[in-house]
Amino acid sequence: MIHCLLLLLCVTVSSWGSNWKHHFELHQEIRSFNNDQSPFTRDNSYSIKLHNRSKWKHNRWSANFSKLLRRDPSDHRDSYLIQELWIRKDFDNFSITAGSQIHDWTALEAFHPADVINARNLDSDFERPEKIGEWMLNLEIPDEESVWNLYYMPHLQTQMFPKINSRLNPLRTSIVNIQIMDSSSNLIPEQKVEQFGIRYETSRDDLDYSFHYLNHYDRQNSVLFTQNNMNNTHVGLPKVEQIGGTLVSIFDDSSFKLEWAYRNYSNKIQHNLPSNKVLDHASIAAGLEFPRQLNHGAEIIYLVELQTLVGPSSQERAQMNIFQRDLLLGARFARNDIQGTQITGSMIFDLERSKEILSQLSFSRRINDMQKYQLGLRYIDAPPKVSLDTSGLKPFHNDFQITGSLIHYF
Amino acid sequence: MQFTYLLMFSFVFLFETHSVSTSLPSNIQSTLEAQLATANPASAGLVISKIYEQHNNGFKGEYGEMQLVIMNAQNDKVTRVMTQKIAEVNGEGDRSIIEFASPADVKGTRLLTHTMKTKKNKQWLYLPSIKRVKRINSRNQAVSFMGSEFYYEDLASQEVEKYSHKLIGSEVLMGRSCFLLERIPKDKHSGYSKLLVWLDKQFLGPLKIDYFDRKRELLKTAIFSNYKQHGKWWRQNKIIMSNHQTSKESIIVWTGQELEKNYKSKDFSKRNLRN
Repeated sequence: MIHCLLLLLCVTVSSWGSNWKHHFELHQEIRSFNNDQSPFTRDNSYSIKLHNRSKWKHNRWSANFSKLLRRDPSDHRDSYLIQELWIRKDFDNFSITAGSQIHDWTALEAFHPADVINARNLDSDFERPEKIGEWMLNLEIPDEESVWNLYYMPHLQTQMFPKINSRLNPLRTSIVNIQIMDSSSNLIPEQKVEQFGIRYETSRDDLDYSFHYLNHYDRQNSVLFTQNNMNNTHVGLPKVEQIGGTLVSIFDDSSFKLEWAYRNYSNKIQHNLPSNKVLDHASIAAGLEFPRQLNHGAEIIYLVELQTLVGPSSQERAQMNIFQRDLLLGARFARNDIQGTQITGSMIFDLERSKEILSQLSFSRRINDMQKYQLGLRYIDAPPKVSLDTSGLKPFHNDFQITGSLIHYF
Repeated sequence: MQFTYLLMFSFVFLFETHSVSTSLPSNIQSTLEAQLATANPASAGLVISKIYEQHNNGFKGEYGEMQLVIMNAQNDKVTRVMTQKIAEVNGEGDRSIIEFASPADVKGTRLLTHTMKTKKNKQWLYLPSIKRVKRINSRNQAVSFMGSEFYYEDLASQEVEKYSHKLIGSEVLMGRSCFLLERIPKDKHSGYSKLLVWLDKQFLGPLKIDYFDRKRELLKTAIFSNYKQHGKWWRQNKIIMSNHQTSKESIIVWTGQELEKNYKSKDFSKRNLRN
């Protein structure tokens, strides 16, 4: 099907001549960690990332091609991602989009229980990993203030996990395969899958809200098996039915935000292999934003966000997700100057596990109209890992990371 | 509501102004005279503003291509490029989408604004790099637009209902006959305590606005020039905004402008921002 879509896109678009708009970004990135005394991990790496977005429009037809090429041999992060490759036809009252698409279902800044339709590259940004396009057929029915979306997703798009020597790999093992799970939790090497979803999104006065239903393979809460060889990990993707939604409400001085999801898994773990459990649960995140204007056109936005998993016990929650009951306090300062200077800082506190804090500070500034740089610091305050316990932030015990990017736009 | 965009977007050639009439159009003159005959200075300001607004209604849709030139105190310049679409909405404030073409890191970013007559405006920002449409709180109105001397507040639709209006008198400014009005923002989060507005009697738009900060000190002055006629409507093609406290200056120049565009209201929806 993918090849058919690619062929259709190429033939259709090329037959209508060139009406493309292109945008390129070249990122030169360094990331450097404190020495973890491990001979197996890489503490420093340099990478080059080329990101291109191309858009095309002709009457009622439009297309989008977005891809990402990363070269990072030292950290084994070489990758080529098609983030988006789709073609759309707009009709009077609806539109149909076919191809690889990225959707954003977020309301909050840090915690995103509702935004699960796309797989992620987990070896990219820790707080906001890159999304990978999902191959789908999307029927969109809008009216003035709201829109219905129906999704059919026939292809399994898996997460990209960090390699064994990556400091962002909490398992410190190699992922040998990622497969869907049947109802008995057996791994099935199948790429053609039946996944579908529906979403309604609307805006009423000072309220934006959405609801969704998804029947798909869960890439955010996967089952990790370690079989005979403890250095190899198998990833099982459980089938899940999810209902969820988002809400943003604007008050006079602040904004209230909510993301929620309830997940009902059809797989029940029936084997005795060492693995984490994936249990039916609700995930709820809520937050408040307080914008304040400063002198000379600058502004600052204060953030408070809270996320919790409801249903499983605290031990079970700990196995399911790094962020299972957490509080974020943060602020974003925008100087709103010609250079677009911004400083963002946040701290995430684990409310269940003592002494687990993730602190982050970033700074970005334009050099000129075509170049920008970003600097980041991250410190993870967590207890040391004990034996095979990889829960929470323990695998990142006292990790200190510096990142730097020089971005060229053309 | 068209008036709102006249405040920000109208403009005139100063040399041309000597050769054109500076009197009000006759139909507006008679209406205004009748209403002003019984008005005191406080209500006269509102009468003038409403009549100007009514006359400027009916343009349906507007498309503009703009350059924003930002200068610091040393006269170093950078230029930002953007387009704007505006749709008139009956009974409510206008809807607009600004799309940024430069600088390169914000290319494709779009700001959707639904202006409300009395309530706080609704705003959404589309970030193409992460495909996100973010609802934003429009409380922070007095923040700089793209590092310029314009605040978001200056660029939003200036609905009559959002100010108290008082007629100060009539003046001749740059050789043109104007009403001088004092406007006081009703929104407590406005960056201004007062505006002095010189409204041109022919263009039915501003020639000059003095902005006073919350400490009641003169902060900025906007000069509107290069007015051009589009059917019955006049639009400025240049605004020079000078900050008296920082000595910085920013200029918006329109490089293209079309009125009576047939935009649909769904073109100004949150969903359409992504497309």
